[in-house]
Amino acid sequence: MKTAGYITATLLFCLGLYTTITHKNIFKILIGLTLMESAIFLIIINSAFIESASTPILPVESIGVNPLPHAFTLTAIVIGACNLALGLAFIIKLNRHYKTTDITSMRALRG
Amino acid sequence: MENYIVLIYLIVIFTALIAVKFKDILSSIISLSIMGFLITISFVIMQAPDVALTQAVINSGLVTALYLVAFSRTNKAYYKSPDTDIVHSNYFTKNISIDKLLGIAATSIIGLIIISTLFDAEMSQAFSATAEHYYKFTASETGAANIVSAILFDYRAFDTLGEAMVIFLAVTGIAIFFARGSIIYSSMGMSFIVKRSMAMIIPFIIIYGLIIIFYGHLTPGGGFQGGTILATITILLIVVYGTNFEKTHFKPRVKEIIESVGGLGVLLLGMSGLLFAEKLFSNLTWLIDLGQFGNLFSAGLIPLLNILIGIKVGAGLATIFFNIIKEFKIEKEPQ
Repeated sequence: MKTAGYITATLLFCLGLYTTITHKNIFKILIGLTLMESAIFLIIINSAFIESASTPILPVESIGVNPLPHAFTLTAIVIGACNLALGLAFIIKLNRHYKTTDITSMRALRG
Repeated sequence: MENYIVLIYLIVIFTALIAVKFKDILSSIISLSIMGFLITISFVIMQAPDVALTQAVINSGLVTALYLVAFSRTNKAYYKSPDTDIVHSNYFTKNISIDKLLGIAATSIIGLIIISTLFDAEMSQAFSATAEHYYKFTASETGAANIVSAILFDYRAFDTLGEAMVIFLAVTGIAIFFARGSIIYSSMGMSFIVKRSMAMIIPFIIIYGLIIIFYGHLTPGGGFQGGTILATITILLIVVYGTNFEKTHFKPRVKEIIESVGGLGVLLLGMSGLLFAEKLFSNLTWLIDLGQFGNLFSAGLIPLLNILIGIKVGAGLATIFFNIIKEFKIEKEPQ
């Protein structure tokens, strides 16, 4: 089960990276970033999982999963959403300026 | 239940492929939302209810709403000229060449590196000493039942302070971006039936968000998730009642003040620990008793921080959404 999770997360990460570096549409680039983010969350939560362990809420009977990666992931999700909102604001602003969503035509440097 | 996870992972990959490959951005966004929800289910199966709640509320709900708003703002008003359309179709049909090959090569190399390191790490992993400490001493040291909340707001509360700073920075940046915009076009909202039924639903959403915030130290949930649920109410109000209603009833300035109060409260509570006890974000043991384990009024600082973070996150995300949905007055054309 952990192996399947790792393989899925790696595939997702590769897909996101490929989208980010090859696609020209600026929305697709952000979608690629979101995919990479999700892959990282999957990897971290997978690393915390232990077979037949319970949730990290007391009282716990025998053994629970590692709670520390959960806290990290929670922080990362909120920060990721904020980053994404900032990126979308950039997109709206750029789109207003250049009237396109194609990143290859956003080349001009103006002060 | 754990046997189904492979199926869920397969659909995750499928929806991710759709999100990447479809030319219609709207389909991509919806597919991304479905993928986030499936990842939520896999988090539940992997015994991480806190993270699953956050992922469901933020990554599959709020982020989709933000994407849709940005898409509508770029498409409807400013993406009309046929010339740019032709440029687009050329780009998507022409480049099958060296770009994509190089991309595939680089990506596959990085993927191989990632997966080899992951399996190496897996070999040497054991139940760590910190996790053992949390399971043994969380109840006596912090009084909270939810260990993830205890880590977020007590053991590693300094991280949470930094996170609050990041949210504040994002809100500030977006507000600066859209400072000159204003709502020049406001819809009248949806029909009477939708408005009335929404008025019946919204109180329950408020209660749900408040319960998630107040019981954050006992059950899955906390300030981040509950705050985001409260922020979705403003999104509903904007969509259903029109932007003017939102602007006149919940003034943006008030929301900014509420957010600042939340951030300042977190900072002051942390500093009080520095002044009266030995360390930053000390768990108020110098002032009050930790209380009965499992009660609503227990765990010292953790519920207070949950409430303040909930206020801050709710007001902050509402401000972000309100700023992004603004339309611009026509600025001067760049020379």
